[in-house]
Parts: sequence; structure tokens; C-alpha cells
Amino acid sequence: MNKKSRSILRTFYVTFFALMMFVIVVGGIVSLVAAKRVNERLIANYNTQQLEVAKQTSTTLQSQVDTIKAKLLFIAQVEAIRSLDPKVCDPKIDEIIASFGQDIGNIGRIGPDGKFYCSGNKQLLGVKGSTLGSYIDDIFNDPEHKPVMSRMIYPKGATSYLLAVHVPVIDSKGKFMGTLGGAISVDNLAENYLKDIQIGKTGFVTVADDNGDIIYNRDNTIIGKNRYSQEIQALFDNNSVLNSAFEAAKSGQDAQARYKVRGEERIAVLTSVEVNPGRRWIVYGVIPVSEVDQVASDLGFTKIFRRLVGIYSFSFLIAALVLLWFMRRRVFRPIQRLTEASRKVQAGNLKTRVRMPRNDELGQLGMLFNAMLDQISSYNKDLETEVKQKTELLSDTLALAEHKNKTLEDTKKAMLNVLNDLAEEKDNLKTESTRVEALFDSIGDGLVVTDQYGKVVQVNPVAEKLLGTKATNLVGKWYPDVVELYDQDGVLVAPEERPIMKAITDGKAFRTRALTMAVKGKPTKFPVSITASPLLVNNQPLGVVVIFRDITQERELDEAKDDFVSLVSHQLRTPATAVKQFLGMIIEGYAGKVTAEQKDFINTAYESNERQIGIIDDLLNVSRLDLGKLKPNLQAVDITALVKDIYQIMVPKTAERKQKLELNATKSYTIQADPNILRMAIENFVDNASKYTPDGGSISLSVTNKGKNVYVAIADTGVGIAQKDVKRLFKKFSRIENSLSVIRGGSGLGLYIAHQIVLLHKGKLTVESKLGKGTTFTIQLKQEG
Amino acid sequence: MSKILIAEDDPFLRKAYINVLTKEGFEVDFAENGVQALEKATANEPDLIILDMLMPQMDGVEFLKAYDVKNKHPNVKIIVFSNMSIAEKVNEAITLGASNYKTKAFFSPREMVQLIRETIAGEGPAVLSPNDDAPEEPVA
Repeated sequence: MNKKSRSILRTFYVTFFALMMFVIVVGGIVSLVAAKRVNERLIANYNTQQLEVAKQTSTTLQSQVDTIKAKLLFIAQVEAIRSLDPKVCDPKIDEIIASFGQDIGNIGRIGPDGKFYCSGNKQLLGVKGSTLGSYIDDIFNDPEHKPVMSRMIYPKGATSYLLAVHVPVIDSKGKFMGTLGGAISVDNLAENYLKDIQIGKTGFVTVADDNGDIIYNRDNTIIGKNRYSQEIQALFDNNSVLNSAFEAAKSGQDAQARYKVRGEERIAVLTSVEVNPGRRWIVYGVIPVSEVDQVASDLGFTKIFRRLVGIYSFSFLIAALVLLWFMRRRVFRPIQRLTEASRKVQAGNLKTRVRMPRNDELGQLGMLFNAMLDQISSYNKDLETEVKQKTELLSDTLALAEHKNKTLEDTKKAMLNVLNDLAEEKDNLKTESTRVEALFDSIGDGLVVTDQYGKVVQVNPVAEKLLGTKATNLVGKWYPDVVELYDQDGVLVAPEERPIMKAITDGKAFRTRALTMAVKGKPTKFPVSITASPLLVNNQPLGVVVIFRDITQERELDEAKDDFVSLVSHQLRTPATAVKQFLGMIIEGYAGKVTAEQKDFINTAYESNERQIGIIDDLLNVSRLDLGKLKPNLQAVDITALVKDIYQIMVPKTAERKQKLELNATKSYTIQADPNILRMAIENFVDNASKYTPDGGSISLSVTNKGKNVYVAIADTGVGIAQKDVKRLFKKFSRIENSLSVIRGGSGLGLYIAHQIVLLHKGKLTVESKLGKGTTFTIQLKQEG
Repeated sequence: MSKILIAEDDPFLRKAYINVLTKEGFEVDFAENGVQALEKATANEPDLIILDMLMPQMDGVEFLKAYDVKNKHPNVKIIVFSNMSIAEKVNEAITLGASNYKTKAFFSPREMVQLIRETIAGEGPAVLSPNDDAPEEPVA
């Protein structure tokens, strides 16, 4: 048991910690996944931004290059230039160009043979233009001679890398006369258009031509170097990724690469701009991954999420600990207490109690445990007390015996003296006792005497005979235990309901009949009439005398009477029915017309016959009531509805006597009643009221309540009943003499039946009457629920 | 025109019933006891039987058992019209297939005719009239 309770606790702990660990691990994983997703989203955002910047840069560069090309092309088409000898470096050229603005310098002139004839860089004079890179050749090889931009050059004495733009010079006859060139400074380009381009905080752009020459980089020391050179390639931790992206961009596709330079991880998005026909510059938008991470971290998604998970795990931990503490306090500890208490009880300490002043199941368990112990203790105490008492009694008895022995000797002598007197007295007593016994034995009814608790003291021979057992089997036993009593339905009557116990508790004689009695365990039962009377001496109960009589014969007689009444009544009904039929036929017109006088006589005969049928009916009901055969079949009844229905039926009857029948019943009350029988009672009251109310009087029917009681009152303005007659009112065949009794007639059974029915419903009946004013019968019934 | 068989041993009552019902336009036949009623009701099935309970040779209950209206004559309606109206008898008769059980002393000719008409029309539940003298137990 100890082991098991510990293992419950351990299981509980383990489960809790496992659950906590699980929640923390899941929280961690969720936060990591979320952080990764935030990063991915950020990178995607950056990539879009990088591409946009690179494209914008491309457009800017394109438009710059195009502007210079267009300007030079315009100059080249000026007649003054076109008409000059291409192989002469005419100073006019500088003049003409200067007139167009300052932004183009280093004017060069390449003749149709491809050699420089004019250049700020004197070393180039007479040299093939292709030394400036293959791009210059393009304009000569192109049949359309479209303008081109050279690769980067760095002439001696220059302060910046230069890009030379060459446009065709076409003479007036449309002949290609070589090119006119101008140079722009890469520094200028960088200064004006590239330097300030930003991506994020640390991102930047790089521009290279399709050979890989770096035109622009924020690190100007590598401008002019080739990205494929060993020096540059050595900077990359893994160059193949960026190289293949570069090659893709060169062919006109946008590309992306994640790589490392000098240990820094970067993401580059590459796009390109076509500066010459078929020749592209590649523009990189670059962002260090560290910035993305920094931004992600600054944005705080990950941070917040991690913090949330931290708080969540922490609160869970606290909640779990609180719950654990609570469980320990509210569940495990009480159980331990109970276990400890049980162990103590088992060891014999019955004074042990558990203290669990709580309202929950465990509190109840504790209470029950304590109550159980209280009970056990009280049993023990009772037992102890009894043993103690018995012991004391025994010692008292012993002491008494000793004392008696002592005094016996003393009294012996004295006794001898009075013995003679006593002998005489004894004779007298014996005579008296014999007389009582003879009396007791000669009583014709069964007689049992008990003490004031119901324990049998004496049983007479008739009782022995009736009960079919010897007095010795009954004496000393509790009467209700040995002699059983059954009600009309054969159900055992509870001791407290029995006449003997009622006589003890009430101190009054109690009588009952029509019950069945039997000695416990004996098969023979017989119907009895019982009278139990308390034996009072100076108003103190000494015992009870129970007298009972076998009423089998009486009952048989009753039943025979019932059969007789029933048969006679039914037989009497038949001729009365025939009379009713024939008179009815005349009244209802089945036999043609009759004179008014005849009709009056026949009506009278019909009414008289109806009265006879009514009396027979009453006789039958009385017979059933007396034999207890009229048992109400109780059900929930709306008494107001029942009274309303009776009202409807009785209205025409009272109308015949020109009486006004009123109804005061609005609120519904539900009672337990047999509607058929109760209806009979109320109808009887109304009928009675109608009978004893003069023509033109009024009768009112009302239903009211007071608390749980419902009252049905039948009030009339009739002749009234004298106070002395009220008691007789509900007796069988009692008819009160008054001015109307002779005229109205009746069996004298109606009110008896009605009263009995009210009693069958456990109701009360009250009568208020004033001679000459009227009578009110009130039935009090119990409302249901 | 509905056919009615009156099973009634009392000659006066029988005469009254025959008279009224004939005048009301029913085709009326009668039997003086249960045996005769059984023969007639079997040979020529009526629409309705007015059945007395206390009859010589075969009483109303015996008739109901032998006639077995529920199974053998489902179209026949039976009104038990008796002055012997105690609960056990009423229950037994209703169980055996009687549509109605009435105390005849409570019916005037016209009321009886109305009851017959309602029973033939199938109206009215098979229950006791409230004035019956033995409403000890409900008849379901």
C-alpha cells in the first residue's frame, strides 16, 4: 500500500516533468522554425530590393552611355567635321566639340584605316584603335557602324580610368570616314551615378564589363582589375558560384549567388546592361548576409518569439509547480493522512481522527471516516458501559446475597414468629390470585398483557388457542415481534402503527378491526378486531392489555350481507328500470300525445321512480363503503376543472327548482383524488344543498386555497341546520326534520356517502349553518406537491 | 338500417327496448337468454348487441367468452346494459370486447337511443358513465 501510494506520486511527478520538457522542446523547435522562415522571407525581400537597385543602376548607366553616344553622334554629323580630312587632326575639332559643352574630353579621331590621327594621348597617334580593346573594332566590323564604347583605359598621365566612346563619321557621299571619339571618366561616372547607391545599410553595387574588368566597386583599389584575375579570385572562399552567376548575367539573364568574400558571406543579385550592340556590362547588387541576420534580429520576430516561448515555458513551469503543490496539499497529503489514520485505527487506536476541514470529495471521505470511527467508538463505549453495568449489577447482587445471608439468620427467628400469621395471609392471597386467574382464563377473547415497553407478560388460554401457540413461546418477547399484523392488502403493519404501540405512545385505548393477525412463522392467519388499552396506575403506564377477537365469522356475515344487499339492489333495479323505460317512452313522446294532466301524473311517477333508483344506488354505495370495498384510485386531478364540470351538470337540475347556481373557481389546483368518487361526493353536497334550499334560492360552488390546503365549498341559502342536528348529519339514514324534508325526500344516505368519500381522500369536512340562513359545507383537501 | 339484437331476460324491459328501438327505425331482434343470443348473433350477425349480464342458462360474461367478438365478429358492437355493474364484471366485459358497459337504470329511452347511435358510429370511449355505482377501478 505504501509502495503503491509512492508510485502514484512518482508517476505524477514524472508525467509532469515529461510534459514540461515536451512543451519546452516543442516551443524551441517552433521558435527555430519560425526564425528560419523569417530569415528566408527577409532574404527574399532583400533579393527583390537588390535586383531593383541593380536594374536601376543598369538603366542609369545605359542612359548615360546613350546620352554621350547621341551627343558625339550629333557632333560627328556636323558638316564642318564631316568635311574635314579624316587623316588630319584639325584643331577645329576641339573647337567644335568645346562649343557643345565640357563633359566630353580627350577627343580622338580614327581614320578609315583604323589608325589614330588625333588624340590627347600623343602615344596613340598612328596606332590602331583596336589597342583600346576589341570594342573599337566593332564599329569598323559592323556594316552599320553603330557607336561603341571602349573598354576601360588608363592612359599615361591620366587621373582616372577612362571609357572612350566612338561614333562613325560619314561624309557627304555617305562614305564611312572613320570615327570620332571622346572619353568619359570612370571616376566621374562613379562620383555622379554609382557612389551613392545603397542597398540596405551595408549593401552596394559593383559593375564589371563582359570581360570581367571591374568598372565600379566601393573598394576603388580593385577598379580596373579583372575579376577573373588570380588576385581577385583569391579573395573568394568559393568562387565558382559567383563565376557561374556572372556568366549567366553576361548572357542577359538575371542571376543570384550566395558566396563568401574575405570570410564575409554575401548574397549578390546580378543583372546586365547592353552598352554596345552585343556587349554587356554586368551590375551586381550585393548584400552581406550578416545584415539580413542583423535586421531579422532587430526586427525582433525571432527575439520576441524566443522570449514568448521562454515566458510560456516559464509560466508553464510555475503553473505546473503550483498544481503540483496544490495536488500534494489537496490530494496526496489528505490521502496520506487517511492512510496513516487507517493504520492507527488498525493498530487499535479508535480515538484517531483525520482533520480534513474541506468541502470536496476528500473532505467528505474524511467526514465519513470520522463518522464511521465515531460510530465504532460509540458501539464500543456502549458495550463497555453495558459490561460495566452488568459487572456492577453482579457485584451488587453478590453483595446483596451476602447481606441477605447474614440477615437471613437474624430474621429466621423473627420469621418463625410471624410465620403463623403469614400462613393465614397467604391463604387469603391465594384465593385472590386464583380468582384473578380464573377471571383471566375465562375471558372469551384473546388477551395478552405486556409491560410498558410491549414485552409480553401474560397470555390467556383463548389467545393461546387463537394464535396457535403456547404462552411460553410468547412471554418475555416483544409483542410486535412475535405476533404479526397485516392490513387489508396483506401488507405487514409497522410496529408503530399497531394498536399496542399506539396505546403506549398515546396513553389511550386504541381499537381496530378488519386486520389479519398471525404468530410469526405460523401459516394460519385470521381476521381480528383488536383493542389495546394502556394499564395506568396513578397515571403511570405499567403496561398494555391487548384484547383481540377472531372476526372470521363476522366478516363472513358482512360479506353475506354485502352479497345480499348487492343482489337485492340489482334485482330491485330491474323492475324500476322497466318502469323508467315505459314512463320515459310516454314522456319522450314514443307513445303519442298525452293530455297535460296525464303528463303531470306521469312526470310525478317518473320522478318518484327516479328517487327509488337513487335510493337503491345509495344503498349499494353504503354497502361498499362499509365493507371497505370502495377504494379510491388516486391520480392527479385538477379539482377546479372537476368542480366546473359538476357545475355544468348540476345547472339544469337546480334550474328545475328555479335556483341560481354560482361558480367561483378560477385558479387551478392539482390534488390526489379519484375523480369518479370525489365527483359523487361533491354532487351529493350540491344535490343536498338544492334539496334544502327553497325555490328561487341560490347555491354557490367555490374552489379556494390557503397554503397547501384546497377548499371546495358548497354554500346555500337554504333552511339551515340546528346546531344539535349537525352531529347527526353524517349518520346513516339520518334525516333532519325541517320544512323541506317532507317535500324533497331522500334516502338519508347522501351526506353519509359524501362524508365517507371525503375521509377516503384524507380530507376534512366542516359545516357552518344558521337556521333559516343557509348552510356551507367545506371540503378541505391537500394540494399536490 | 342498423340491426340490433337485444339479449334481456326481463320481459318488461325487453318489451320496452323492442318498442323504442323499432320506433327509432332499427331492425330489432331479441333473445331471452345467453344461449338464444349466441345462436341468433352467430346465425345472423347484427350491427349491435344490447347484452344483459344476469341471464338464465348463459350469462353475459359466458356469452362474451363464447361469442368472442374481438376475433370472430370484429364488426359487431356490444353494449353491456346491466344493473349488475360491479368493477370486476365491467373490467371482464370490456376485456372480452364489449364497447360499453352501462347501468341501465340510469338511462331514459332517448338517452339509450343516443348511446346506441354513438356506439354504432364508433363514438365515445369504452368507459363507465360517471354515475355508475362501481367506479372502483379504471377501465383502460
